[in-house]
Amino acid sequence: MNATTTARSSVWAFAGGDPGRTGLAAHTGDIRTRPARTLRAGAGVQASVVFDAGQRALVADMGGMVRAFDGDGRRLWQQQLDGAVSATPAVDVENCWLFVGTHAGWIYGLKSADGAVLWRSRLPSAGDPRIVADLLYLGNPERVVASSWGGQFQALAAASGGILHTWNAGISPQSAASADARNNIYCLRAVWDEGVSLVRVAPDGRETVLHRSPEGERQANRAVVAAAPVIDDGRGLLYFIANGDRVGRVHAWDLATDRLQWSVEFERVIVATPALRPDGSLMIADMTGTLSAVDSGSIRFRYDTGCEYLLAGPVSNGSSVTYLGDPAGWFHQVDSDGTGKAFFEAHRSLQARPSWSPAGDLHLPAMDGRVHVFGHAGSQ
Amino acid sequence: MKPTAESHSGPPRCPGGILSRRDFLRGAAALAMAAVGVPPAAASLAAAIGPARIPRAPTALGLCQRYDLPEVRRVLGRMLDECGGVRRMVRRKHVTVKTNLVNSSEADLGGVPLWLTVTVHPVVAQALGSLLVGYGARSVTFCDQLPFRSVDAEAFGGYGFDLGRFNERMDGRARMVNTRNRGAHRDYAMVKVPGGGEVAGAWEVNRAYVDTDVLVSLTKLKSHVSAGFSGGLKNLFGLPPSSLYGDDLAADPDENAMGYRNAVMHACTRMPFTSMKTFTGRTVEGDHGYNVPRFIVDLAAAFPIDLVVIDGISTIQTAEGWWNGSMSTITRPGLLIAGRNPVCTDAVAAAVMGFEPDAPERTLPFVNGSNHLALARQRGLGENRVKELDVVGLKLDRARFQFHPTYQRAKA
Repeated sequence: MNATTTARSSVWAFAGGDPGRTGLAAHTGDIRTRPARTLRAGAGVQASVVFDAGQRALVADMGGMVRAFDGDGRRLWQQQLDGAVSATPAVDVENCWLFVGTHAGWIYGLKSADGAVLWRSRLPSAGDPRIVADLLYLGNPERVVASSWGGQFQALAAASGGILHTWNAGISPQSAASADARNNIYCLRAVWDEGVSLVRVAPDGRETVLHRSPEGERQANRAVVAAAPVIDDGRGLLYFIANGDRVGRVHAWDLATDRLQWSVEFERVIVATPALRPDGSLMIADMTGTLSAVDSGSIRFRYDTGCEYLLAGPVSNGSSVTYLGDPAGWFHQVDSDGTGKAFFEAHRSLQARPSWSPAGDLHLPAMDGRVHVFGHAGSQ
Repeated sequence: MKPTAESHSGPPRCPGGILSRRDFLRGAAALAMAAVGVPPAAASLAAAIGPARIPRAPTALGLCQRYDLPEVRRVLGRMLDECGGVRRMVRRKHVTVKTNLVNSSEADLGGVPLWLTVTVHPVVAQALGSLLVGYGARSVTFCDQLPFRSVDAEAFGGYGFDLGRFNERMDGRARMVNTRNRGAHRDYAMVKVPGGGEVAGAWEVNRAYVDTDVLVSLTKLKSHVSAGFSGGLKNLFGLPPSSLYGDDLAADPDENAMGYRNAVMHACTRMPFTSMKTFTGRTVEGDHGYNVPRFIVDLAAAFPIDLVVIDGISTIQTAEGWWNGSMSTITRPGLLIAGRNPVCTDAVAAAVMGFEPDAPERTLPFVNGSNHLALARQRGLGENRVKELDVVGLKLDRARFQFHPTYQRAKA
């Protein structure tokens, strides 16, 4: 490959850093192996930390508390919401607005500067209203995209929370929507008698089913659709995961030709959103506890974390070093050639994807209510 | 705080009291009185028990991130000592351990095996068994009803329970018994529910749960759609055998039956085929959230649990099993929980999961029905209010690990 995959945004405002969920930062060089500081949440943290243009770290927890911290780890404000938060919030960097979805089915618009509630809107649902899929913010027009177990994706006006348009999200959606540089939205959904579909929703709301994986023996309501699509704008590729009953299947979709380019099968399903590296390799954390590097449909290496399964996706930096937390509490660093090590142990499970601050510090949420902040090797 | 369960000596006893025909008739008369408006004995019992007399015992919490046998054994051993009295309780006694397995050993969650998600991990069972033997237990019998006609120990194999391996750690004192029918016994045990019970006046079960000195509930920390939460009490749901309560029975008992108990104990569309009338008929057809919690309490009243051990190292959240669909997700609290009063222990476990164990019915986490922990306290079985509970070892705040609560069933 000649092209280089680059991070689309300098501010990590979404799960995975940018609307394409690449998990790739521009920063190069290692991080320190001991946390420089710890941010205290009010409860376990399952959502990734996001940031605004003021370099505030925004932490939402399973107790429904949102807290903001400055670059030195000082708490700036906190806001209690109705319902636990496990879906990673999204930030409108330009306006300093933060959008949070809760298990009670509410979407909140907050000012990221002081935590003031701009609006809140409850997604309609006949049954359980919870929101567990990571949120997405898109400009032009400014909107927040979320899904609830009501089974619909909703695009809400970022300024008011009013619903702009909706589309089918399938059965108990967990997988977040992603977007390419032209603001096309991509999502996965499981539908009875159909299986798992990859769907594109154009900015004008037009919907196209790009790919359909047939329903397995266990039927669509047991299909694990959890990882978000990952978009490599530079190469014109989209990666998505359509699990079988037991196995994981990673597909590469060519956005220029709208054709499947390659597929790779894994021993168990995949729930974590993969990350990209600058060389275009896809880093996949699977439910055997293995991190694999896939390049053009071939597995280049596998790194065994020692944990039985992996729930959270990895992130990479500009030096092709990948970082990954495991549910037994270990934090791993895997170099570009696949050699790796566990270098830090948290007290409790790591179930959220790490994120990079604008200053290049890596933020690792843990279920003990702490966010461990690792400074880059050049920092004090 | 003094544990309520006491060690006992002498011949094996029936936990709830063997039901004689005379007892049963007396119970049936009480039920008949209830039907014409006389408050059931259970209600009078609850009214007679003031807050100060509600049984309670300490619950021990311990962090344990991995299914590593020496590590699990070390943490659990410390916890059992913190609970107090476990060594004395099992010394020279026959112990029955009701395990939390399920009605298939071939299922998985996206390829991840059952013992990491839905059922008790064999390493936790081995660790517990080896500790009990170390404390002087004469025998430790692991029981559950499993949908296999194979020999007892073979039926457990698919769940990772290897009798040979267990006995290597337990000086040959481990046994495994499939209680889906009466097994090797000549007859069943009929066990009355003290006070008459609300939905069950008696239970007819395999004698493994009766011909014993000590009953341990070894279970998985999980959400439960009908019960809100699944712990040591809910684990007793596996006692009524398929041969009398199973969905695959047509009109009579059948020793070959292996079915689940949905029609009899969830939807309540028919009565079990027990040798005498055992259910009161005070269930609500189709309302699992009403029926399941009440059956749990009537089981707990009939089969007093001496010790609860909860495997919360790796499990699932939102629902109790793969059959509930893709909303069940895997999570890893990295915890062990143990206690000698099952209501106290389950209440602490629910609090650890981020729930209010005394929450009103049809609110989180009991969104689809009644709160069986509150019902159990009202029946005088134990304390479920957090401020009244005694936690030893790891503090509750440090142990807390928020689960995604069970999902709310769509309204018709």
